[in-house]
Amino acid sequence: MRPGIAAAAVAILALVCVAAAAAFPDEQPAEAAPARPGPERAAQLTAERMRRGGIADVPVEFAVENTNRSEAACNTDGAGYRIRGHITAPAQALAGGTATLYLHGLSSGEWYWRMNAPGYHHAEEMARRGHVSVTVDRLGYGDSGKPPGLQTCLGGQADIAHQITEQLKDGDYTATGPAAGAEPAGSGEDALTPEFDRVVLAGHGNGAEIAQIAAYSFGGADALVVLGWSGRGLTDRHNARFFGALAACMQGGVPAGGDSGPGGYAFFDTGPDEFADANLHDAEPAVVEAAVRLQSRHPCGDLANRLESVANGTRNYSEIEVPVFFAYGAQDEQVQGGGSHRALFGGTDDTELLMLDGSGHYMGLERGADRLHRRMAAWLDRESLV
Amino acid sequence: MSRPTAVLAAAAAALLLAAAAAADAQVGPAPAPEPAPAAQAAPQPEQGAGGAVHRAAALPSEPAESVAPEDVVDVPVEFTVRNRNRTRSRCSADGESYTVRGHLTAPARVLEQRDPAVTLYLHGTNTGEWIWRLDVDGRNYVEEMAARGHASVTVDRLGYGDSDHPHGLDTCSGAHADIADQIVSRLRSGDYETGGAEPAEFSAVFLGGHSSGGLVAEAVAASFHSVDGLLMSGWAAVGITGETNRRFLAAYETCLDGGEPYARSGDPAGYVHFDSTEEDFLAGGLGEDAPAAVVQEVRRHYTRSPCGVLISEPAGILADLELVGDIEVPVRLVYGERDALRQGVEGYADLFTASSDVTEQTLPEAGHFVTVDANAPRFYDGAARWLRRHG
Repeated sequence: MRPGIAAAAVAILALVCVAAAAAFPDEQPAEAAPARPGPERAAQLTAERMRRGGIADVPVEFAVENTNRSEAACNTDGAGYRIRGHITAPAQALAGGTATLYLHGLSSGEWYWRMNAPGYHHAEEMARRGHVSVTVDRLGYGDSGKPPGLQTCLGGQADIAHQITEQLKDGDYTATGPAAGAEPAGSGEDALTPEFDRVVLAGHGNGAEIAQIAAYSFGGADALVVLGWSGRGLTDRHNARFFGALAACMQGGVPAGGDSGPGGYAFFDTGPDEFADANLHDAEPAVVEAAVRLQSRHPCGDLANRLESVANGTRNYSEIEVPVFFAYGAQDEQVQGGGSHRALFGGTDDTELLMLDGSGHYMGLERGADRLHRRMAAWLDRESLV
Repeated sequence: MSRPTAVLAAAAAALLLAAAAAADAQVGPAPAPEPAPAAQAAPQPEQGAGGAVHRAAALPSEPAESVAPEDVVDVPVEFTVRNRNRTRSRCSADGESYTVRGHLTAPARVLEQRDPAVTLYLHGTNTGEWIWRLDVDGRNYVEEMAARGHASVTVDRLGYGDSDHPHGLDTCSGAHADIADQIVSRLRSGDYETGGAEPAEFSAVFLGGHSSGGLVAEAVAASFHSVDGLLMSGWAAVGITGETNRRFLAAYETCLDGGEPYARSGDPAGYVHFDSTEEDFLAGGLGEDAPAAVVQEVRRHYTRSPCGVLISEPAGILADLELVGDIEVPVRLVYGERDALRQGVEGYADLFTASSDVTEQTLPEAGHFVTVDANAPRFYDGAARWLRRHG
């Protein structure tokens, strides 16, 4: 481990320890009690904040086929699965317009966009700024269906992202429960599952690679957001982990969840310290603690075919003609070279690059997140993607 | 772009651990009882065989057939194929038509038989048809097999040697398996070019794969069930060494930047030297005891490979670990004791759980290029006996 990384690891460990006695600033009890809201209470507090802020939060589900018609050929099982997530929007704005579909990275999940901590819940923050977000657990993650780990891959995930995009435009998806937070303006099922005119594809890490594949393969996205991803800018540290995870997959991996479920899954980072150290540069202790608790295992297929999809993808990025917003953490330990990545998108002259000084790979969970929210919302506004 | 040694070492160590664990963790069904050897044939133990599980008897020794060189046919062949991928190991190919070129080498009388057998040989990532046809006396595999009574078809895989060269990222390991299956079909139907001669129709077709040609061969067998047996050399989907990973990572960096022209400026792009130097090529391929004439000749064949083949292999290997359990035909595995690119392969035979006939042979002092390296004649003898038994 490089000295700087070791120091960061020690610092983060210290932060995690301190975090055990801290609370989110605006949830601080009047008395100096060290109690911090548990996951359920934190979710309740988020819902209450949303209600006060006029934000609707609708649980939704998409029926998809795990097939691959993208330009990034790889193995899928062709079976039907459910993709579960949420639509989070200003209650008055949940009636069409533009939705941004968010695709999380390799080691995260829908939780990355829905951290129950004030200022770090991306979907909530975007709704405060007037934008509709659709967040999902990608296939193989969280509450969504879980195929055998070698039977999903980036091309297949891109196909699914495209299927969801189409379903959002057709209103062909299902609300699986009542809205949390504020009540949507309309009434009935259609009010919870509107048809959107435009869909922006946004991805973080591996999710950004998936969004890119979907954009150049299907052309269904009206704009693209690439967060913390450059296939040619992966750091030595990331590559070492990549081959470690590939090795775990070669041993057969682990079950999808706990000790059960289909096999062929693996953790990219080994242990909570490594996970925190690799992904978070400057985060509040409570957020670090929550993220560590949520570290996701990934389907091995999503990892294994990345070498091929990245090398092939560099030939295809120029086919993307829609506006693209790029954002990177300047202190990202896993991905660098955002400017070089942007330069590969020669098919559009409408790109914007945000470099977040002081942030790491999980920039949306770090102290600089507010700048990301503001800049991304402003970009959506400028592109009339509202 | 070079990678820090520490990172490469970590990656290599991780893969080595995984390979060893994979080999150790999966044990096939109990070996079938070995049949008694033929009374008239004295059993001859496999040369240098390791202690791994064998589900078949040691090959019986039979009188070596000897075919005089003047009775051997060696003709160029070519196959029009489509660069597509219908295998269970998906990867990207352009779907276009290309010509794959090679040779048919066989005793003339075999081609006149009613139901002849042939073996289609597939070279690895960083070699070519030459690895089966080295211009060194006693190290030309197909000549040696013909002298022992067996027909061989060798080809340059798509993107290699005398075959067509698409953009290097427009083909991949799985597509090469599809192409191999197309060639197998043509060999059975006699639908291929032999320079005007009547092409033979083969009743039995075996697949030989060297190094990652073995990965291709396994994808064929598991996806299409179109071959009668697998004869693998220098290949296992486990036991990948740090030397392999070091070469792969350096080559991958070049491929990420678009690769290089196949041979010279103006050639199709997307190609890369798997070994970054000629010295690496020789050190990775041959053991220290390789004959001097072999070293001298192999040196001439340091060429580039299609990036698409290289970059599809990690996912292909992962998929292969599931596919090999579906292979039902006889399998023979031949290893080099001093293979720099594969070690710890002892448990690989056990992954072929659906085949009741898996044998292996380890050649002392041999490196990765077992078809031409030290003790290669033992490979030829063993392969000939195995083919005679199954063909």
